[in-house]
Amino acid sequence: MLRTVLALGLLASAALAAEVEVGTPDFENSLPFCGD
Amino acid sequence: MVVLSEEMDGAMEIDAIALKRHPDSQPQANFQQLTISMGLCESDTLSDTYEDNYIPGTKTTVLEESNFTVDAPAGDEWFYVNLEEPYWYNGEDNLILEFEWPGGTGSLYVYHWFTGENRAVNGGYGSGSGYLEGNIPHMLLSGALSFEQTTFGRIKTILIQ
Repeated sequence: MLRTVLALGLLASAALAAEVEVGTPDFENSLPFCGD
Repeated sequence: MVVLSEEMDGAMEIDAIALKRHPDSQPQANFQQLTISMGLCESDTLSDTYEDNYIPGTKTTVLEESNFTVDAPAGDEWFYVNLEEPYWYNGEDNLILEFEWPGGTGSLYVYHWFTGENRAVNGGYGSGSGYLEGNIPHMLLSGALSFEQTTFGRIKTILIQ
């Protein structure tokens, strides 16, 4: 029982990899990130 | 620029920022120095004075490099800038991302989107204020979502019963 609790505890504390997309594609709108 | 809390997916640790390159852009740029800062903001729109936008004490440097090269080899594809220090976003306040560079070579053009509000400040390097605008980059914030604090306790309680 203890082993099970520890194993699930590790699983629950693990991080969930994710990517959050901010904004919507606007293919007419291009601006410089660096340079001129 | 400011990202609104409702555009985020809750609390997360951010360890990279991705931008999408325009096809006509050059594939690489070199910054004499690049500093990226992140912090929290109470308002949905920005003031033209950079420091006034941060909740006091929350501005954090997440990358500071000299002679920093960014590669964006393919048009219409995301390219990533990995942070030196991951940033923990609390999932509640709005998020500020600030990029500063004094100069460089090459030009990277990335897709933006129009927010309709003053969500970005642009100005000269070292200036305390700039001009407000509504365009901010289309981007990915990459990292790890947090589990709710209750998750472990709930699992443990169920098993022990």
